[in-house]
Amino acid sequence: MTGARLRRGLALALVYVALAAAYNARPLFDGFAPPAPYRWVSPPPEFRAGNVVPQPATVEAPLGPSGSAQAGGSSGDGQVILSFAAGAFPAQPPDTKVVVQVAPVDPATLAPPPAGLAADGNAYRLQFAYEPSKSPAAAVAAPADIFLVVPEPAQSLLFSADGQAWEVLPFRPVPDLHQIGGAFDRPGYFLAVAPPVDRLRPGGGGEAAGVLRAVAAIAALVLALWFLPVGARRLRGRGA
Amino acid sequence: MRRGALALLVAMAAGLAGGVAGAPRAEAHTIGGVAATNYRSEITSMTPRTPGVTVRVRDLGRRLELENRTGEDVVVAGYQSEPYLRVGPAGVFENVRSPSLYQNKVAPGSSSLVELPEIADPLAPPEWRRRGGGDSVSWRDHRARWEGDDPPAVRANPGKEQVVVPRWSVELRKGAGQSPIVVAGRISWAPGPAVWPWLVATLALFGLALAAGSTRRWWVALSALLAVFLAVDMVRLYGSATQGGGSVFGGLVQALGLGVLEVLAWGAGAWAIGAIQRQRAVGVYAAMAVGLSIGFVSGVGDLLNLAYSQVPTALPTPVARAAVTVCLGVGFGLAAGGFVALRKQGPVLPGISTAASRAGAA
Repeated sequence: MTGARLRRGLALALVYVALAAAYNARPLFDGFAPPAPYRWVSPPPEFRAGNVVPQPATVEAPLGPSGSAQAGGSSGDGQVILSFAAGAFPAQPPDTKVVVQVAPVDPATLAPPPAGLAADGNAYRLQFAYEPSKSPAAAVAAPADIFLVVPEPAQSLLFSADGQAWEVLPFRPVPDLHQIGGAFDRPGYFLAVAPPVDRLRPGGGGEAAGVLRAVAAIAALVLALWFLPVGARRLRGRGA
Repeated sequence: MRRGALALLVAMAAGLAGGVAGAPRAEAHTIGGVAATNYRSEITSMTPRTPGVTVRVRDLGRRLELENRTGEDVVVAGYQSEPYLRVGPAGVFENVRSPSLYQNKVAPGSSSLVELPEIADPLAPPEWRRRGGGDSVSWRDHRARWEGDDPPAVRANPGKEQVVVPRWSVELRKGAGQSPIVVAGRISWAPGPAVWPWLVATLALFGLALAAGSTRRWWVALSALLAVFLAVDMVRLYGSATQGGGSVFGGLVQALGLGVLEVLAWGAGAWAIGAIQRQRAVGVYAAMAVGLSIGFVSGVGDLLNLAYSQVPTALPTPVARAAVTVCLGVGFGLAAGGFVALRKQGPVLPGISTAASRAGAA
């Protein structure tokens, strides 16, 4: 080995190091942001990591002589939206407003959905109370709407006054697949439902079989590569 | 001799050092052009489950693939919910009015800006252009792959497996009624494995091949190692070629097409096995060249597969990593072992000047 060869070897190494450094070019972000993840009260196992607790909401409907004014609002995380038409709550002097409390609830603590359907996200409990008397409001007198953001496209919106038995609310079409809306007239529990999600398990269970297949393929190739020349020589020997 | 071996060792060590040092920040582009990564993309649900409709993640999340065997059209919605692709009995179509069509032509890493043509309008009625036949289509989808900088949680704790995008979704619409099907998935950060065991194995294999050249029956040892080396590289290339899916036959054809030079090296190596078995020097030279070339192409080229958790191969990940180790260790080891064989076993190799033969001539 001469010095020139050694220098060539070192040059080769330097070329490779330069190429390896060139691989360090990092990808640029193409500008597509993922949607905000759904916030679960009780997340499925695959969503436990990183889950953020959903937020409650409070909506205030000021009262006048003819009842409540138009009111609306949403939870801080935007997962539930409420809308009350004017007059939804009758006047009740000397109360000055109706406070609507919305709280996310684990649907597993309520009655199960109808057969063939599963909870699609959190349930939400609505409670109405006149202020300052704190007396509850049992119903709304004018149309009120609720919209829920859902993790999967919902099939129906259910309502239950006490969480023990569900009824289907009139469906209000929403262009976004991940929202569902409905009209309601009483406080209680609201739950979007959908066909049970087919949670696909990522592959990986077949790794041992894959290793065996790869080892078998390598062994077969080794035998072929090793013995083919031997066989060829023997054939040539017989021919001669 | 010592200086020659030293040069080889320096080249290999420098190559390894350069590649591995860059590993945590780099992406390894394989022969198929797919980059190894620590971000794992997977499909978690399809709602509702629709018989005949299959969606798969391809190229480590860079692409999604839809297979439609329902006998009805299935439309893939783009980033603005507009009709983007259609697969059905008449074949595969793309909507030339869909902005997603142009946004998806941008390769990751090339640019963050997409200039849309005037025709692109997500609200316009679709204008379908036939892309081809068949019942499946794959497309680059930015929703299913992490393309940004590492998020703060990953930067804060890179050694911990964690979900970085709990839910991405792609909407499909099936049939005349446009029944929605939502395919959802997630993206997780999966830390790469420890590299040092593979490097130790590489060095051990290098030492084995080096020692093979100095054994008494060196031609048996070197030809056997060369056979193992070629077999491993063949399986490795097959795994790389088929990582995007497809049949075994299609994978073989793809492997042969993608790795033409490698296939030529296999031919030379297969011939060299016989030549070495007959103790011919030219066989040893060929083995050295094949070892170096495949060592660089397959070993160094896929070196970063040792450092990332998600490796672009159809093989089980440990097999893919072991293959890289063999390509590196045995490949460069064959070059070194062949050199040793040529120098030390000179008398049985015609045309080789060795210290022993020179002493004999004197």
